Amino acid sequence: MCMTGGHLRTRVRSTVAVGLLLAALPCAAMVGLGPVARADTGLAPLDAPIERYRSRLIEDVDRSVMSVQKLRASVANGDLAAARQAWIEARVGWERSEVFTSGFAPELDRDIDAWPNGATGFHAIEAKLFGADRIDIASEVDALLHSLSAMATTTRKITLTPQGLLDGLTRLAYEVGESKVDGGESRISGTSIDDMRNNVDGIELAYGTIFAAAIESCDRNLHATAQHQIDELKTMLAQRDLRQIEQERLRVVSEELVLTLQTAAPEIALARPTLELQ
Amino acid sequence: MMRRGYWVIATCLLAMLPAGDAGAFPLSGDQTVLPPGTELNEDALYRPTEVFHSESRGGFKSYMVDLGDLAFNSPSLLGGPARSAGMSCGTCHVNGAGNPKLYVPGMSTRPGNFDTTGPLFNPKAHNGVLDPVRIPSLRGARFLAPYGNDGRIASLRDFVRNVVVNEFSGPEPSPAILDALVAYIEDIDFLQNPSLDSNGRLTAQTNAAERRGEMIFSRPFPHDATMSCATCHIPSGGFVDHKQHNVGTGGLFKTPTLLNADFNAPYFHDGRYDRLDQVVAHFDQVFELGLTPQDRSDLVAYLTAVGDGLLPVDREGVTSQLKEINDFATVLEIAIPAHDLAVIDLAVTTIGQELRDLTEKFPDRRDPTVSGGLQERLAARATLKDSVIRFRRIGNAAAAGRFDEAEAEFMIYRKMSAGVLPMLLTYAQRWSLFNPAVHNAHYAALRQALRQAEKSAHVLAAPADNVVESAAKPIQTGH
Repeated sequence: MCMTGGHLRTRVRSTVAVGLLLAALPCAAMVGLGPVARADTGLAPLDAPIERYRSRLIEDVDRSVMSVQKLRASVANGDLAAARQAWIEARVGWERSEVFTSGFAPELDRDIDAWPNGATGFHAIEAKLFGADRIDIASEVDALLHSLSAMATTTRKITLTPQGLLDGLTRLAYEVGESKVDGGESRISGTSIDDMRNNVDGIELAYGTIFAAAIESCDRNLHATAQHQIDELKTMLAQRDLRQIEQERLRVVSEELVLTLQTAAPEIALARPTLELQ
Repeated sequence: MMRRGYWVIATCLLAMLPAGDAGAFPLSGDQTVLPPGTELNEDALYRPTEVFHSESRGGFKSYMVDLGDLAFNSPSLLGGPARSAGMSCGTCHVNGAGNPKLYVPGMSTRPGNFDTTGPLFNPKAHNGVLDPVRIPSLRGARFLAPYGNDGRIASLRDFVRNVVVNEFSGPEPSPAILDALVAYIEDIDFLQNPSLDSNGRLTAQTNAAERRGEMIFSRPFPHDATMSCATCHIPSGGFVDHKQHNVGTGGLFKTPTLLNADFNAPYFHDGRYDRLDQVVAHFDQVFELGLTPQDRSDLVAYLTAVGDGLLPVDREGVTSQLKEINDFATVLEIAIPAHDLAVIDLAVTTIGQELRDLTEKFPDRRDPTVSGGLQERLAARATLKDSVIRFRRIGNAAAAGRFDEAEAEFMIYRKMSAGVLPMLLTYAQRWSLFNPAVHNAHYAALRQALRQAEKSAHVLAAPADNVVESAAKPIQTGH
């Protein structure tokens, strides 16, 4: 059986990381989630949830690729309004998949999402499309399509480890709390809040698909806390625009979600997630 | 001479301050609390030096001073749009000095002034007139009562409360926080000035022009022999008389100090003049002083000598940033054992944001304007992010009554802040925004991208409209 949430929280309060790891092992062994269980049974119980996540991730990235193809067609037709709409749609899948990029492929950020003022990538296109009303962006769109297509291929082949996914999830939870008082990274198109919403959707997807059941089986309260924090982020980001968001509270909830995930990690036999892939 | 040496250094440093909008805090788009075009100068590479009276006497800042400094730099002290925009007292009074570049469209008529009774930050204080006032330096404020540009408030404590509550819609500060704010402001000294002795007289190291200017400064006015410049700007009294006068600028305004004035431009209550020669010309005209060109030049030389100060600015860097954060953190040494939840919350919130801001000084992979040092930058970012979360852990533990845990976490931070944190940040500093070359490349790129957005920002200029001064009263509700 798993350790109860109350028991575990007592341990969390009174011990440091070593204690947490020790406390986690029995739970991990019982539910068969971690390396101990894998060694004992030959099973990798998170494999199925991870593959379910992979299929959703692939859908998101493919959708982003399709939107960029639509963007390319709009550019070819000289249709600025359609191009802008396609750019906004392409951002959705990209931002939702940041759990993956943060955990496994951060170098994609430089090609796809360079900021500020990359020669290529989403924001180079944004500046011309939304800032300068220019549609002479064929080469930038081709480069973006190339990078996203490569990413789509990677998502199908790469080994997705539970640790990498939890790391990516936690890093994205931290990032959501970053200040956007300067207008955020997509300020030219006015869609920074959409980026944030899509980030949180990506968090919810990864948490719900991969980790929720495992954590809940060990500590129902911890799972409820994580779910509540994700829900609160979603509620805060349901505002019409950035000005209505309470940035201070957003930061608090983002950091508390990081803490929750860091606390949960040893319960499912994973290391405490790091906040930067070095 | 030593003073000249420092002056040359200071001049060079000031000359290196980014020109135009090079040091801008780029804020644009149609979804910002502050109007597009706002300049807060938060990314300046040089900041005014903060000289504390307690430290200059060989002591150390008290808990009260550190707490006041913390509160002074915390957005949570304010309310409404200022808080939402992440502004604090320190946004306008950088390190307790001024901010000559601060400009808020609709609220400023020029960089360095700001309408404290405008519609943006507290509609209840809106007076329907665009009447911005210069952002004053607070150096030596304990000698400069009464407070406010027209001296309307006798007590510094009352003045600070008025700024927080009425001008910036902040919640009523606790008496302890008000006391701390006053302790902090009163500990900020003038910069030392070797040109002046303890009576405000020029020392022997000054030159002939400066000494001639000193004579003119004390010379009776041609049309009123009872008056001279020194009548109001009393050299032995901090160059003030604590009174209000009409000097032809539209009303009664209190006599400003001339100490460190070289670094306090723009001048006059509304910041109408950029340079001291313009100030001299104004007085010459209004009071019919009959100054010759030589007199004017000498007077400017004298005012410049009086307004001088040692090391007026500090280069921003890892050391200065960590010192400030660690000074803020010292309040936890008392607040945690005292179970002072209000101070713990203030510290955790403010320090966490400072650490997040510091993280962004070390660009991540996405920034194409920085090459090299990626591992060093990522290591710096990682340890800063860990510190942010550690402070959140401290706050949560304290809020839940687990003060031992909060204390233990704080001790871990203390050890890190004395070792691994400064080490990793220093390793990465050359690839950070503290490096002028990296800084300039980063902001040049950002400006270039945002310049393209100006067109769309103008089209979507609605946010600026609601801060334009108008005589119309705010809509009243609840009647």
